Amino acid sequence: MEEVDHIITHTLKQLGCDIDDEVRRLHDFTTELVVEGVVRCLQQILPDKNLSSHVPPSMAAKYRLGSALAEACTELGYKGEIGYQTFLYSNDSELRKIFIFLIEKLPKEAEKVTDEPLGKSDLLNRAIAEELSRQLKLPWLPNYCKPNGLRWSSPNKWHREGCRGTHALHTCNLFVPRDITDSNSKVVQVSHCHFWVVTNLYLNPLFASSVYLDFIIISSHHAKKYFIIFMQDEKNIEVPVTGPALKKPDTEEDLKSRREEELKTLQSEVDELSRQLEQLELQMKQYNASLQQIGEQILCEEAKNKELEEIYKLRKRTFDLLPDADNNLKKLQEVVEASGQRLVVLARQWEKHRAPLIEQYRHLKELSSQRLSETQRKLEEIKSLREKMKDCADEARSKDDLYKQLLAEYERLTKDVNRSAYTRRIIEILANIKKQREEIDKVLIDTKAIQKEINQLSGKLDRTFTVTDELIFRDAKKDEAVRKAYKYLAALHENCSSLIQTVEETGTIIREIRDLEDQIEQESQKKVADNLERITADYKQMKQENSSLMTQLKA
Amino acid sequence: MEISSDLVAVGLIERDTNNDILWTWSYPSIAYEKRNLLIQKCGLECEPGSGGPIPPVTFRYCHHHRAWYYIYTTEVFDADKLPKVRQFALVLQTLEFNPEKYVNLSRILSKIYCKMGDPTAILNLYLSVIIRGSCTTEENGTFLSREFDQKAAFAASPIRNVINTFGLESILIYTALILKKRIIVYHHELDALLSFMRALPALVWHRQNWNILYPYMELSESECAELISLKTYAAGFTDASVETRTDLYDVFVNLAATEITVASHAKEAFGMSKTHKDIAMFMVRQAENTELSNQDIIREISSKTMELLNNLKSLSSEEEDGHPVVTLESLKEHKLAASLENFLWNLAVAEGFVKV
Repeated sequence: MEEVDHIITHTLKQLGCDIDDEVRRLHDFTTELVVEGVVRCLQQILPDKNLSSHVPPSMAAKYRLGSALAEACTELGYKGEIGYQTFLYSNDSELRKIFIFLIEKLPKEAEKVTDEPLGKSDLLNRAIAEELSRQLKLPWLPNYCKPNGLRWSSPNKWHREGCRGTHALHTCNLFVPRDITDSNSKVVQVSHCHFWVVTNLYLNPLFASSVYLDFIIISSHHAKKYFIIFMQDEKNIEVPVTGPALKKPDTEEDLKSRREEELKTLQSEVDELSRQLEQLELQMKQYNASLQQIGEQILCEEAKNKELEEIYKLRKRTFDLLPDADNNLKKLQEVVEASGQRLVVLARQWEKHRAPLIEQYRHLKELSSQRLSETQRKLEEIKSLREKMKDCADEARSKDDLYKQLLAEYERLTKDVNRSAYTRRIIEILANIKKQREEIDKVLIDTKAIQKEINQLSGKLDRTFTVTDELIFRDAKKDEAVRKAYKYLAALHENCSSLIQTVEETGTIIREIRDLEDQIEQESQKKVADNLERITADYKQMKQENSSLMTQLKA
Repeated sequence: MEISSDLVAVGLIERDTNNDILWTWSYPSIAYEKRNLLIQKCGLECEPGSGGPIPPVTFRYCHHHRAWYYIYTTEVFDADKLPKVRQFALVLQTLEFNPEKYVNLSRILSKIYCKMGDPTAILNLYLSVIIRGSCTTEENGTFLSREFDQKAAFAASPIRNVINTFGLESILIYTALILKKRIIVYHHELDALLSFMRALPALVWHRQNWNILYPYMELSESECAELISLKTYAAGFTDASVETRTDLYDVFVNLAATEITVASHAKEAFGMSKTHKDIAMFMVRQAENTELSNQDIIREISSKTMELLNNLKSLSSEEEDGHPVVTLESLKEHKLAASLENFLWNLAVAEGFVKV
């Protein structure tokens, strides 16, 4: 029982009751403490109920408080006997029952979100989960209750539902008159902003809703301002136009003829202009053609010129050599041959330099490519190592996070001694129960063994008696002494059985006595007499109070 | 004695055992930027045999700034003379378009280099060709410069393939060529591209201008700049992304997909008239006639073109020192269909019949 009391005091302390550390058992509870504890429990269970935890001095008020508490408990479903006296004149076992009942009824404390270090993705996930569960909890609504597929769950919170009212994004340009130079930038900004907000809205309706609403208010404010400016402009323009028109009221025909005239002149003007245009176009075409042709001719002529120049040079030299043609031809041929030979020789010499250089280049290139491949290999190795490092770091970080989380959890756990104490105690209790059961089993086995022995013995007795009875009965007809003995036997048997019966009866009576003793103890624990006395005393006191009040009233 | 002054330079690009591509030798010299360009295009970049089922192109040519470069790649199997070289490309820089001539020459030069492992052997033969117009080797026979006529090279165009590939749509190519527009052809296979490209100038045979041909280009900055500086060309690309460069072409020919696209900015010049239809039908008919050789087809198309030009000349109002002069007014006097008038005017501009 001590354990239970400890748990109750702990719980009450948690609820905010001012309990001294010395108070460890329900037996030590004062009336005030009992009332406070019960009231606090009830306040937790029924937050609407307004109960005072202060015990008033007046008897009637005390009675009222006590009965209100009792009523609340019965309303909650307490089945046991309960009245105002239960709280005022506390009885250990009853109080224990009531407190156990109330503590069971206490609302399970919502798991407080501890300040765990959370990542952004966790926060987002949590937010999404919350939002989804919120939306799922909402009752279904028909389509016409959701304008544009929007559903308002609170004055400034909404979400989209169903596919009605989803549209592709449409935007249009904002045309701003040039006159408003100073405020131009603002409008442009606003339009950009609008675009941004709308896109964002489509991507993320969850978070943008409030921003969007704010924005609409701003933008509509702007629009109104500029609209007013345009209106003013238009008015300014219109006034001078309508003014003179009103001064000259012409007849319909005049107007018509004048209009026709004007039309004719304009038509002729247009014709003239288009003719000119045509002509100009023609001219342009011709000029373009000439341009193209001239360009081509220039190119052609240039090429020809170059060719001719070269031919001229060649011819000139030929001409110089012409007088002694045969000789010169021969000479020329020789020169050409010689220079050809020389060129070949030179090429051979060049080759002597070139070939080793190329060879060297290739060799070096090969080396460098080898080195390059090695570098690449090393680079790759480094990359893989770096990746591994990254992985390790990630792992370390995640483990760190886990550690932090666990630490937080651990801290939360250590604060709550209650729980571990409970479990420990429950385990102890369970062990006790187990032990008890074993003992009960042992006793049962013993009882059974004894029963068996009894049965055996009674059987043996029965058999022995019948055998003896027969033997003696046979001899009894002949012998007088035997007859007497038979009589004695019968008497013995009878007496013995009655003896056994008496023993059995004694046993049952003893058991009954024990039961009754238990009952008596229980009843005596309830202190009915005391309670009755107290209640009658209370009654008397109340009567007295009433009469004094009456006298006061009368006086 | 004939002097073959069309040869400008010869060079060697080698790929060695380190997979390094190196410009190793040249005579007399090739500019540094040109070398880089040629290294890019020499086809030594990819491993031999790793090119998948497509056999590597051993002979290719390109045209830059009025110079023709012929590249002949050879794989080195016999490692005695060239121990560190796996593959080499022989580059010939010349002034004329004549693939047959230079494939022969470069083959001979490559073989001798493979055999001797010494560039002086190449130089010997090269000088011999420059001085005497011919060279002789023991194994690969003789190369005679005069055996290869330029006209023959021009005429050796698979023009039938061109027309058969695109049928009536080939009129778009014809129009683009005759109006001196910019054509870009795409095919991922270089061989097919080169063979197609060389036939294009043959459609405007009367101009005899193969310099508009840029058969093998890439989308590098310098090459794009070169094309942008030109008014008319027919350029071949092996890079499909060239289709997005609408600033580079008026007509885009996707040879791999047999599609012709006219760029939106050039649509006006490609208005089709009855004359176009006539020419297109004529071309297709010529190509379908199996009795005609490629040269015959070229001749027929050329005569058809001359007919068209004579027609245009007859429309000219006056003559100026022997040249016919076409004015827009005189064209308008004949009250032709708008598309035909537009075409004839553009043709006159292209042919230089417009009064300056």
